[in-house]
Amino acid sequence: MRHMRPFMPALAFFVVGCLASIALTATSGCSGSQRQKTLRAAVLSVNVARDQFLEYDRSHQIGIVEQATSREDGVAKLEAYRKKREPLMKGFEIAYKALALAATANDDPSYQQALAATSELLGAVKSLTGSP
Amino acid sequence: MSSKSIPDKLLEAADMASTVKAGLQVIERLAGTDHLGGDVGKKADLAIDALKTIAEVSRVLHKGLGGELDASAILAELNKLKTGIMANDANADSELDKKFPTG
Repeated sequence: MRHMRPFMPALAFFVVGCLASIALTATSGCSGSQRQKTLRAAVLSVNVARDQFLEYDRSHQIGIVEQATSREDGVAKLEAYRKKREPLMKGFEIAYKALALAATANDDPSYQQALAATSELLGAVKSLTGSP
Repeated sequence: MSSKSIPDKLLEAADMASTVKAGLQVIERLAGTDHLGGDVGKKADLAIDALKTIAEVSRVLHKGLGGELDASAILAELNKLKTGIMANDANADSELDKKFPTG
């Protein structure tokens, strides 16, 4: 489904924008309440990216089925796509777990790791965007 | 500087209003009249209800917008991704079966 192609870059730009605002907030000096606000913004950003990715995933798989020339062709292409999205799935898992740890640990290392994991997730999004 | 949250302060104000109202009712009994309780009492009740309602709404908003980040709530968001992916995969497989039925 070609009209879905522009979706992933828009998603990537959205996540970049959120992360930029998070980074600016984080580097400006971080009180406890500011830390909470930054982490909360990161969680919301990842949630939005998740929901948008789920919609993309649903539409993309349906598109694969619609274009399949045979059952074997459909199975093979679905498997290939599901394999390709694994890094993004892993990225979401790492980001969420890092954010959960940062919410509990309340220290700088976990905080920085959570923001880094969220940036890593963006890399996985771009990777999926670049695939044909 | 008080460390109480806004909802707690509102509830504290509601308690104070209840105390004032009770005091007024004692006065009216001593005075042998229901003048205070008739009108002022009703207004006090409205004010108390309003304060409690605002406190509850404030508490819900505070929690809903993330007053304190909760690790279990964050991990629940991850589970939404997993269940969503499983649903998408099942949907695609089902559509493929419909398009190319076996047997």
